[in-house]
Amino acid sequence: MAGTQKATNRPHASAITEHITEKGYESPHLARSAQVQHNLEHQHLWTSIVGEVIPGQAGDSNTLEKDPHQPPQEPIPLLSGYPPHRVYTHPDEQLYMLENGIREDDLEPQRMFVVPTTQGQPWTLRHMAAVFDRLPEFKRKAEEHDRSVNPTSMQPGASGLDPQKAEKLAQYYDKKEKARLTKEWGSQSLLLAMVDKGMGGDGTVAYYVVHEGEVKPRQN
Amino acid sequence: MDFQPDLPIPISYVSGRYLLFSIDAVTYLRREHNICGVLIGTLPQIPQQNVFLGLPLELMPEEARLLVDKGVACIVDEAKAHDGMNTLLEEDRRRYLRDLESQGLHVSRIQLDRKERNREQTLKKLEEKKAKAKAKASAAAEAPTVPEEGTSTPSPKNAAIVDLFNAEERSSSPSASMSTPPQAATAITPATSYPPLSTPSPSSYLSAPAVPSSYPLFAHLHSKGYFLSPGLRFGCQYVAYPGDPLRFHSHFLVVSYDWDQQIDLMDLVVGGRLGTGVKKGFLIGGPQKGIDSVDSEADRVDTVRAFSLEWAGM
Repeated sequence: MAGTQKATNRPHASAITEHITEKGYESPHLARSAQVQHNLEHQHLWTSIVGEVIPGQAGDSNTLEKDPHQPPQEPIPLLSGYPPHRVYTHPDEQLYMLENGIREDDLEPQRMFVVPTTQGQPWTLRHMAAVFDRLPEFKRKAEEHDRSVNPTSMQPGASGLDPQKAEKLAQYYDKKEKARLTKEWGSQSLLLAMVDKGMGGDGTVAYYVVHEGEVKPRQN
Repeated sequence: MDFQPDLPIPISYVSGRYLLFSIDAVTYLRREHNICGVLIGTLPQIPQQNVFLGLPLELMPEEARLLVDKGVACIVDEAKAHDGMNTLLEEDRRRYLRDLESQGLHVSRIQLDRKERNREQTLKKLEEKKAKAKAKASAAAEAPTVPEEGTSTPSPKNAAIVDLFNAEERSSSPSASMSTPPQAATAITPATSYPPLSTPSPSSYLSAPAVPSSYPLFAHLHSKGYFLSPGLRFGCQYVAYPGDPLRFHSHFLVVSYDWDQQIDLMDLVVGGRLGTGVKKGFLIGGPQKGIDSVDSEADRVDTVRAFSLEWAGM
């Protein structure tokens, strides 16, 4: 009968499931990464998303415990891309921008790194430290990638700005570079993306900014 | 003002708690060593009153340990230290009581002096007022262009009132100073027992307090100038203030983890969300080295790594 036939018909897989099977991401960390990448691209409109993986450290847990700098056993996926708006601005940096009349739109976009995680996966301080330790390396790689893809995109319309503004921006970038070294505008930061997998998952991804070390909160 | 107590400051160990009874030590530690502790003393008659608490100050084991490791303080078993009370000589006892009485007398003298000074000041003020009123009255009298009774009458009346008060004051003040009772000594309750007892000898110091595994992160943040207080009220282990808690809002809710301790990601969401809700960051961290792999806690403090979380708002 048609009725029973219909009942056994399975619904279509979701777009994200199709995407994951299409790409052949079989290991959980890649599937997780694909889901977050999908969310970033389509819900938060990020662009030029690149994926990386920090390989896990094979070996038994005894050797792990000896060396705190060794990465964990599990591979950690890492995504990076350009958000449409800045995700994080340090409060002191924001103050500087306000004082000098620099708007967020004037600044060149910044590549932001994202660690996709899911509820119930192993996660320790060692994982966190491993990601931050490798971050400069991945930043360099991503910059090279950006340059090779589009060599002109990194010079934000310097021609279209009036000289006064251009000078202010130049001062800002100088200050930014200095602040990066002194860490007065915060240290390295990334986004921790948490995927809800419980009860089949509802597609929610929660994002948290993680800073290395003590960085004062934005509103205090 | 900047009182410098004798170091090491004895921390009283009473039934598992680390307490400070000397207000000088409390202010000194807060001022010089960023240690606040928690005031727990209440009124014996009204123990429910817990808005304004006083001495003693209770220290977390972490705080006590930090001070001992720095050489600023030492731990003294309070019960043992007071064994000497029984063997106190009668003569010493009397001398101590006399001492207390003379201190009490001193205090009441100071209070009396202050009262006297206040009185003189008010008297002077009244005098000035009276002079002014008189001047006004004479000015009013000299102004014949204003013949109305209404305006001229109040001034003399006022002056009379002032006079009346003044006379009363004047007559009462000498009698008051004369009738001052032969100075009842203010009763003094000393918070510390070190004058009758000698300060404890170094051989009687207890060993450094045992601390929870979160101590390295505590010491790490303290070394960066943060003031730390217990975090129960905020659902975390410590609350970190960038300066004295009386002057600053706190920056972080702090939770410590061991290097390979599993962190439930839900806890990060909970902490991050709570922190953002109360305008704070959520800080997690811990030492890279386990307690077994190092000689002392101090070695672990240097290996602490911390991460602060905030809600990304997306």
